[in-house]
Amino acid sequence: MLDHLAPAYLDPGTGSLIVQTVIATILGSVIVFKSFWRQVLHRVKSVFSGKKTIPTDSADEKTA
Amino acid sequence: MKRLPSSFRDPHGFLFERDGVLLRQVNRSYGPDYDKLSARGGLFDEFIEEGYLVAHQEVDVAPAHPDECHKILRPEKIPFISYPYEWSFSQLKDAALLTLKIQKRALARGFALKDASAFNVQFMGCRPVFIDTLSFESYREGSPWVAYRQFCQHFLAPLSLYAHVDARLAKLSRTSIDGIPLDLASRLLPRRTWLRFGLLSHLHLHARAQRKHASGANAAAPGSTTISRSRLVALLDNLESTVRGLQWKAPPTEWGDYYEDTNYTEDAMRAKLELVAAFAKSSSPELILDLGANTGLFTRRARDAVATATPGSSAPPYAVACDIDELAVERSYLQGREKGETLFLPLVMDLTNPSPAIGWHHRERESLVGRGGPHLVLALALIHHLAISNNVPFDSLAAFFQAISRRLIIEFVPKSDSQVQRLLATREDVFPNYDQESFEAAFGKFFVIDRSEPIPQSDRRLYLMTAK
Repeated sequence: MLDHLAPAYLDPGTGSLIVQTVIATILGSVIVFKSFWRQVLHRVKSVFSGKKTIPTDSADEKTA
Repeated sequence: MKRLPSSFRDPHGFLFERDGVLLRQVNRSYGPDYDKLSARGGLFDEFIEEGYLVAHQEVDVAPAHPDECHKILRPEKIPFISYPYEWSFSQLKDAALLTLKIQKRALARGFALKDASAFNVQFMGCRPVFIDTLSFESYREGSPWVAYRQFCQHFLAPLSLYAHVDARLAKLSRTSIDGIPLDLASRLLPRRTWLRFGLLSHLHLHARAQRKHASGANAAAPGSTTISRSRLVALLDNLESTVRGLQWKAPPTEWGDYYEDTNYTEDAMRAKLELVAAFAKSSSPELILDLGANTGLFTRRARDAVATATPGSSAPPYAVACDIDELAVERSYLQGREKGETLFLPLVMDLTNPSPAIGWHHRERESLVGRGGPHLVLALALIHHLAISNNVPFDSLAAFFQAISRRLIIEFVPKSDSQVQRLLATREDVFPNYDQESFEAAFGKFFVIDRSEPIPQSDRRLYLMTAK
């Protein structure tokens, strides 16, 4: 694992690296799932409303 | 040349002083990263312009260690160095958020923080600023954040203890110089904090993982773990929302409502303010150190009076407002932050047990007295707490004040005053010499008493003294 690190003067701690990886994976997966779920909702909405909309990830893009 | 005793960990450079000027040597080993960071429009430009990073200039002076030298920098001076165990809740929280903001912005530009020590943040008045110019390194795709553990120990643990247990526990940072051990924080935090994802993961499970892998016997094979950049950003976002979600619901304290609950009338308060201003005006200090500042009303007045008396001065006076009460300091900081004050720094300080020199060789972090001076010192409504509540003799008090003062504005509060009566109500009066005559005699050994005026509508007296 440590070969991804620059020659650091700080000991990152094995336990800290492992827990960091696990948490980052969970959080990253949640973001991916949320994004996927938004797309599904958009498609369902567009089917029922009869309009073709392009699903986007951010509110800014929707209003653009 | 004097190398700073606290600057020994990072092999890429160090701080030293020459002729009273603070300089930083950047070693050749850091050259490639430094050149990328300092290129026009690079990360240094961006961070310095935003006020996130202390400004510096490259200077052409003789290096401290020429064989290893890449550049010499002269960083902008921090008027008064303070430490995390002297900060109120919001000061520590703002320092944590600044560290995360810097890490996220650096990551977006291909760099990462290689450490996340709370000592890398200082305050320019009520604005936090990152001071370790060499803390950045090139980001390698897939790398975890090497400073994650340090961030949790230096920031998340004390902030959680502040918010969920007791503000006094944040002072554990003073005994644990590399941050509060996570297993200790986890044991001290209440069970309800296990229900919050941020604290559950970054503190409680983190502490367990540390314990499990403490021996190194279960260490993962090299190269087996990577974190994509997007997942690292998600981790940093979550750390940020966890820190933002921590709120300190301060309990009522003895001094939190001091100015709403004093024995001064409005006229007496105004007269005392003007008297302090008039005394302060007669000196031109670089730094005003108020040792019992409460929310800093008198500190600010004294600072403004000095600034008005020396208009156009190249170095406007900087004021440090110490108080024992976390709530008073928190209020003072929030006021200052709201107004964008950059010349006023509030700090939590128990004068009966002020910050000592700590760390390696007792020299990594300085004591309160060791941090420069002499200053213009304010000691208002303070002497009775030190002399009566803490039994410090007048001679000893005078010697302490002389060690840090060029000039001293001190208020004598006699026994007839209701605040002293309150202190004596629950104990035997073993202070037969607590009177104005003995006070003047003791302080007269260490100071020249320049002026003394009675404070209207009270039995108190204000003194202006110059150290002998």
